[in-house]
Parts: sequence; C-alpha cells; structure tokens
Amino acid sequence: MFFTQNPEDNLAINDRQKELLEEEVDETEEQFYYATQWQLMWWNFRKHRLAVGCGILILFMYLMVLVPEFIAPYEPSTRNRRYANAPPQRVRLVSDQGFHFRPFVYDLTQEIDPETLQRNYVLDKSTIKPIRFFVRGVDYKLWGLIPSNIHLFGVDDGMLFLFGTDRLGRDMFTRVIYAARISMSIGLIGVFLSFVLGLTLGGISGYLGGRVDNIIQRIMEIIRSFPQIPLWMALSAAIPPHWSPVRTYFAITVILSVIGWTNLARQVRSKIISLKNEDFVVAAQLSGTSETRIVTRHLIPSFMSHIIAVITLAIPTMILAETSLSFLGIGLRPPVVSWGVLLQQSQNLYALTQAPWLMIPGLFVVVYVLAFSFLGDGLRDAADPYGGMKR
Amino acid sequence: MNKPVENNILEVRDLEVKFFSDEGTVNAANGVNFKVPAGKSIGIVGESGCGKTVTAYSVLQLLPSTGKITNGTIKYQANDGNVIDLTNLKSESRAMRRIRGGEISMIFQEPMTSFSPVHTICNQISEAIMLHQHLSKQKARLRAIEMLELVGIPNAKRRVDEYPFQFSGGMRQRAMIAMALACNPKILIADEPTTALDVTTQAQVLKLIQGIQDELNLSMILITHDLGVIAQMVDHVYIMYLGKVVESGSVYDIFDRAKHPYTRDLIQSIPKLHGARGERVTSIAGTVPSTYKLPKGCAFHARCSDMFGNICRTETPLPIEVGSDHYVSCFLHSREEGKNNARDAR
Amino acid sequence: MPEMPDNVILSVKNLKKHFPIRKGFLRRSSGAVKAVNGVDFFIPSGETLGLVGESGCGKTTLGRVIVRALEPTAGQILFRTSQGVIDLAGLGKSELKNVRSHIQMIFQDPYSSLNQRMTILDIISEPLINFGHTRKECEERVSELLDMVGLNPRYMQRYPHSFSGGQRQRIGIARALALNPSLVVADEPVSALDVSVQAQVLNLLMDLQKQMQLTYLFISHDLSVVRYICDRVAVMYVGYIVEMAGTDQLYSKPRHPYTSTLLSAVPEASPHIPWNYSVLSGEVADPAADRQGCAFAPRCQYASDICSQEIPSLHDVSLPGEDGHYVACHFADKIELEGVS
Repeated sequence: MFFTQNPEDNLAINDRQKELLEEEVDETEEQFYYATQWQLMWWNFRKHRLAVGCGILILFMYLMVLVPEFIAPYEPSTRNRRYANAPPQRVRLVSDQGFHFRPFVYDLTQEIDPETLQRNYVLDKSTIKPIRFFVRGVDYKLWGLIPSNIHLFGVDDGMLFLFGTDRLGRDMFTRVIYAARISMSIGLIGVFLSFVLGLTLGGISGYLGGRVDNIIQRIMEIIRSFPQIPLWMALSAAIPPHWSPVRTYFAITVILSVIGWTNLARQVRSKIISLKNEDFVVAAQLSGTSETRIVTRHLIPSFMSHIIAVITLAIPTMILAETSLSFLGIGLRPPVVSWGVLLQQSQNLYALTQAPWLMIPGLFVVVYVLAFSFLGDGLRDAADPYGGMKR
Repeated sequence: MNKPVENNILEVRDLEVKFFSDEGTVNAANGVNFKVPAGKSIGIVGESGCGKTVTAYSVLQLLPSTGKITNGTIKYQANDGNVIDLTNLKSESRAMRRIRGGEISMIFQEPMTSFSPVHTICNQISEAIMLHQHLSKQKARLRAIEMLELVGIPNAKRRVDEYPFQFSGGMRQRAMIAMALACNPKILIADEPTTALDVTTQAQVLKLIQGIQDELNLSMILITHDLGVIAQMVDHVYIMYLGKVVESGSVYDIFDRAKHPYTRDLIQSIPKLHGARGERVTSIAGTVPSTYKLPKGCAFHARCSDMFGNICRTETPLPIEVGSDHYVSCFLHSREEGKNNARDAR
Repeated sequence: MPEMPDNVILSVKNLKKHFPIRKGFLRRSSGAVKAVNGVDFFIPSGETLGLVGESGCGKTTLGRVIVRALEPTAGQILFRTSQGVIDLAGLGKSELKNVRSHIQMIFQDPYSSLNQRMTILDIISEPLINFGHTRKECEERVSELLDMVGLNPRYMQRYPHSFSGGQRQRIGIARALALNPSLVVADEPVSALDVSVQAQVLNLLMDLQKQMQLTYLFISHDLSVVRYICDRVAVMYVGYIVEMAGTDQLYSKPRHPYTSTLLSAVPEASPHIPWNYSVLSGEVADPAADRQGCAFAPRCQYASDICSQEIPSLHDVSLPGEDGHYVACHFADKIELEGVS
C-alpha cells in the first residue's frame, strides 16, 4: 500500500507525483499548457464568427482608406456641370446585344421635361461603356510621394458614378471614400488621445488612491455631468473659422477625446483597484518587487486585454460624435469631406425625395459603427480567458 | 425494478448527466445510483468534479442549459402516492414546479446568492408559501414568522421585514432553511450547507437541521466534501469519484469497514482533531483528473495504491454487495483472483 | 537594539492594526475597525505556531501586518535576522526590501496568488531577480525548487492554467522558498484544496520545515489541520489572542471558554465520537465598537460583572510541568473546561 511510514520517504511521494504529472498529453493540450494570454484570447475570440467577420470588414475598410486616391476614380472636388444630381449608374452584365463578360454601364443623358421643366436623366442605351480595372485617369501623388495615375476602376471615356453625384456634379463614390479617411481616422486618433489621458489619469488615480484619487474623481465627475452635445457645440463653436482644415480637424479630435477619456479612466481605475489587492500583486510586493515593475509586469498586462475591448467599443462613439457635429455644421467644414459633412447636404426635402443617394454616407456610418460594436463585443467576451478556468 | 421499494421516497438509477460546450463534453455524472429511504438522511461525499452537485441539481431539474440528463431514471414517490420519473418532466412544467420547492426543497452553499437582495425575507418566504400552499398573504406571513422562529432567529416578528443583507451569514443560512421548510417538503437537499460558515455557526446550523429533521420526519440528502459533517449527520453514505458512486453503505460501514481504496485513503487522509501532532497523514497521490478527459477503466486507477493489473486500466468495475446494503465498485472485491493479485502486488 | 530570547525568531508586542472607517464627501474618519487590537506572541525558531479563529477575528490581518503587506497602527514586530534583531514595524520602504528575503508568505487561494499571464519560471524567479540573480542562476534555482516541492522542472515554461489547485499551491510554496526565508507566514494554505490533496500539501510543508529549518506562522480556521502541523497554537477572537499554549495542552486542557466551545464545534470524522456542541448564543462582537470588557463576555456562560468592565490580559497560567500556557480570561483558574482527548 502506498503511504509513507516515515518522514524520510517524502522523496517517494515526489517521484510518484511527477510520474502522475507525466501522463501522456496530446498535442493540443500541450499547446494549451504553453499558451500565453494572447493566444488564449485569440482562441476564444475565434469562436465569435460575427466578431471575426466584422474584424475582417474593418480591416478591409482601413486598407481602402489608406489609398483613397487609387480606389476612387476621380478627385473629391472635381465638378461635372453636365451631371449635377445624377443618380447612381447600375453596373450591368446584360445588354440588348446579350451577355457581356465585362461589366458595363450605360451613359446618362439629360432631358428636360417640357411640362415641369425638371431635369431628368435617361439611359442612353446605345452607348455601352465597359468598366475597366487599373485604368489611367487623374494624376495623383500617393501619400504625397509616389506619382501615379492608375485607378482601381473606371471607364474609358465619359463618367462613372456608382453612387451618383451631388448638386455640383461631384462623384459621391469618390467623396465617400475620401470622407471615410477623415471620419475613420478621427475615431482612431480621438480614441488614442483619450486612451493616453485615461490610462495615465485613471492609473494614477487607482494606484495612488487617497487625495489624488479624490481630486481626479471629482474632476471626472464634473466633466461627465455636462450634457455632451451642448458641450461639444460650445467647444467647437470656439474654433476660429479661419483655421485651416487640418487644424480644425485636430481641434475636433482633441475636443472629442477631452470628454471621452473619463469613461476609460474609470475602467482603468476600477481594474487597478481590484488588481492591487489580488494575492499575486501582494506576493510580488512581498518578494521585493519595485513599484514600476509591479505596474509594468503585473498590473498593465492584466488589464490590457480588457482595455482593448473597451477602446474598440469607444471608437464608434467617437465617430458618431464627429458625424453629429459635422452634420450640425459645427464640426468639420467643407472643403474637408467627412461622412458628417456629406450627410449635411442631404439635410433637405429635396435629397429625401429626389436624390436619396446623397444619404449613402449614412449607410457607411451605420455599417462602420455596427462592425466596431460587434468586434468590441467579441473582444470583450474573449478579454478574460481565465474566467471559466477556476474549477 | 420499475417501482421503488416501499419505503424509498426517491430512487435514482443509472443517472448520466453530460455538459456540452465548445471545449468538449463533460461527463458530470456517469451512472449514479442512490436511494433515499423515507425519514432517513443520506450523504453524498466527494471532491471537486465528482458530480455530487450535478446529481442534486438533476433531481430538481435545475441543470443549466448546457447540461442534459442523457440516461437514467429518478423515481419519486409524490405526495399523491404516484411514482413519478422526474427525468420525464420538463424543467419549467407545472408538475415539476409543484414538486420543486413544494415537495423537494434545496438549501444552497451560498445563502446570499439564493435570496433576492431587493425583497424582504418575509416577501421571499411567503411568496413560496402562497405559491405552493395557496394561503392568503396574512396567513403566509404568519407562517413565515413561525418558520423563522423554528430555525431559531431571535425577534422573528421584527426581523421578518428585514432584507437579506441585514442578516449575518449564519442567520441567512437559517433563513434559507426556513424558506426551504416553509412548504412542508418531504425531501430536503442540502448542498454544502455550511461550507461557507465558521465552525461554531456550522455546528449551530447542522444541529438545527438535525433537530428539524427529527421533528418533521424529513428525508434528507446532504452533499458535502466534509467527512466530519457526514459522520455526524447521516445514516447512509455514498462516496463519489468522477461522476460515479464508488462505494455506498451505512455510516458505520464507510468509516469502520471501508472497502474501496479511495474511501479508505480519503478517510485516512483527513487530519483528525483527536489525532496526535506531527504524525504523518496518509495522502492520496496525484490530483483529481479533469472531467473533460476521464481515465479509462476504473476512474481511480491512476491514483490507486492497490491497483493490481490491467483490468483496472481497461474495464469499469461494477458495484458488488460486500455486506448488507454495502456496495463497492472495485475489482479487489469482485472476484477471488482479484484479491490474490492485490496481495501479490503488495 | 531590541532584545529577545536567543531561541525566539519572531516576537510581537502589543501589535495593533486599525482600519479607519471614512464617511461622507470629505472622507472624514469616523471610528475604526480594530482588526488587530493589541496582540502579543512569540515563535521559537524552527517551530510552527498555529493561529486559529473564525472569520473576522483578525488572523489574516495579523499575518499581513507581520509580513508588512499592511502598515501596523502600533506595536512592535521583533524579528531575528543574521545581523541581529530588528523591529519590522518601524522599517521604511528601502530597509524593508532587505528583510523581505527572510519573511515570505503562502496564500490561501492558489488561483489568485499566481499571475496567470506569467510562466512558472517567471513567477518563481521574480524574487530571485529582485535580489540580483542572473537569468541563468534563476533557471537552476527554479528547477531545484520545483523538484523540492514535487513538481517536474520540465514544466517551468508552462502557464499556471495548466496546473490543478494543489499543484498551483506547490508553485506558490516554491516561490515563497526561493530566497531561503527563515519565517514563512502560511495563510490558510490548504483550505481551498480538495481533501485528498490537502494531506499532500501538509506533508510537504512539514518536510520542507525539517529540510530548511523553517519557522511557520500557520493561519487556519481548521482545528484538525492545526493540531496536525503546529507545535503551539494561539486562538484569536475579535482582535485579541485569548489563549496560547502547546498544541496538545490546548486541545486537551483548554483554559478559555471560547477555545473549549470552538473545539466542541468540530464534527469529528467518526460516527463513534459523539458531537457534544454547546451552542453559543448571540453574534460575534463588532470589531468597530469601543469595548470595556472581554469581547467574548456577551456569549460566555461563565461571564460575570468584571468581564464586561475590564479587558482580561493574556497571562501565564501554566501549572507545574506545563510550559507557557497563556490565557486572557478573568476566571481561567476557576473554571473547569472540556477539551478533546
């Protein structure tokens, strides 16, 4: 019978222990045993199909806005007098002559209704304009460096308006793509700024506690107690109108993040306070670990995954804020194009009834915001890979 | 056997419970058998992951949505004299709800989570009474006070209108017992009722349960990992290991004549209050395996000090009667050759 | 330099830890929870002192004050190092770091006491790195330590989530022993473990004590475990030590009514030993209240007037032939109490 009759037999226990530990483990288990928290998170995240899909969609959108000059067939400010308020052209494969392997569009011609004197666009079915990829068009400099004139797609002659045009005849597709660059980056930069502010102030508040914590908490409460939209309005009304579009852009991101950081700071603070009392942090203190090392080795890695999820969920709020400000005419202003600026011109009855395609930027806002929300949800669920392991 | 024996109020046969999740299937209970004689108390003992809580939850059809009873019967002799198989009842069915809380009630390990924090104790106890016994609100309230007095809560008339957080841990556990007993159940299932309590409070609560059980002639299923509590509280003991009952017998059979190596080592491995200082405690090597990956053969073989051959690794031992109502699932006792092998191995 | 007898490694004198209760917007202090309220005890080198009591009695706080995870409010914690006796209560941050290697702690919860995001190697070598060991030395020492606590050094690159509760507790023990401490405060080291694993860890602690000449302060609520591992036992009740004596003496002849009640409350794992528990009336005293008398008096069947007027001091009541039996009770000499055989 296996049990020790005298204390010297302890080694026997140990040997048997090891023996038992060395049971055969298959490869997946082996992998699991050596997995870092990020691997575990990724395995958990992978199970959320919707979140993974949204992640891929978001990645694709960002890749697109990296090279808007290449994606868009025209320039955002080019006016086409002949095609004001033109409806979107349908991409077709079948014409009167039969099936075409290359997608094409019909040309648009304007007619004036003799009774109402209204301009109408009719399809000119005699001209088939095949859509070609990697066509040469307007010259541009990619990222201000690489000169080129190749565009992803276009037609040989005449115009191609996938999303129609606005009242000045500017191509809506081109404008939506260029606007995406502004809108999508304002969310990222805004969140990045509030992340820096929130991490620093929330971290200090949670780690030091006491009086400092008290003061930071009160400041946050004061900021949060203002109604958001009027505050934004007041702050952005203070931006001088003569500022260059770039300066306005940065001013707006700063305004958004000055208000947005409080939420993040709260999350960081509460995480730090609960982690500070965890046994493993106490153990680190007791073994003489310096405070810097405790913060960088123990605290930050422990809540980082959670913070990433929170940040992901904060990006849509940023972009919604920018869109609403610009929509109200107090955010970004033309000639800068953002989704909010584009939506501003659909603010009338005419757009609703006669040119509904002017609201396409709104669709992009909805898709982008939803995608981020789903992604954030998935990340949040995966953020604590150890939650279910406790027995 | 289609009908439970005359005096058995509950009889669980071959119960199998599985949990399905992304990580795989957990075999939480693997053919559990036990019976509860009327007016007696039985104890189910085991370590984490042995399936003792899952078994209790299955009786009341309280399994989470990922868990399913895949086999077995739970025969219950209802108040109206009929024998019902509880596994045939839907969790939310009217019949099940009448039994749960009305005829079989349960007390849980953590009393704070089983009370709603936003209702007074009175509301919560009398709600159950009104539901099961169709009493008026006033009468239910009186009954609630009566129950609180029964479980020894001082100033019951005043305290009945307090909220759960105003009660201390022991008081809360008493209030939960009061709630469980309010509808005159026939069976009380106590799942680790005192694990979260201090030893003096534990003693009070257990003595209380014992007293009430005698007084009301209740049948009780006590689930715990604490062999001390088992030795003092129950008549018949079921020892579980990884979803199976490995040994069952009267409390004297188990503590005096344990046959299964696991039972024997488990009893020897707990430090005794009456023991001597510095004497080594027998320990069981290794740890309880994960329920995701059950060992083949006898589930205990890898840790067993009496493992004697291939049969332990490859075949599942069946329960053998080794004494009056004393069953053990171990090849050591299954046949003569097993015994000889064991002797040789030692 | 403070003095203490040569064989004593730790001596605590009138130690207090009060947690202020802050209220209102300005967070003014209004009273305090007196978790530890004037505690005296000592541990001879190489022995194990058990600290028992029910939840809220201040035993965990006391342990954390001694390792200086918490600041003491008042009192002395005299500790013997190779350089002489020092008062831990008075040390500043930088001086404290040097003492850290001599006093370590084992925690109750094997899950929260290990950082899940670090490998076993990183967890155990953290104290070593803090005291200037190189990466290579760490690896050698860690593998030696893992071997000592009965784990295979091969697994040092694994993360804690691949280990069971008992194995994690072994890892926690290895971390505590990394710097060769002389005193280890073990705060309920086995109460979160499965019954069958408890015994393994207890045996391991005892073997390590012999091997490394460790002194333990063993904090537990489980009187059976304490009996098994401790040389002497101190019983705490609401911030005070009410009785302290050699283990066998305390269990067989308790002199404080609370100790006796506590012992009778334990259900023994044998159906032949009857369970004669004398039910305690009333609730545990409020540690925030200002008290004049004995904290146990309202629940004590032997209490008389003096018990609610005067706080009994912990004094030596040992009979001839006994060594060091300390009790804080006015009637210690007058009452007959029952213990366990």
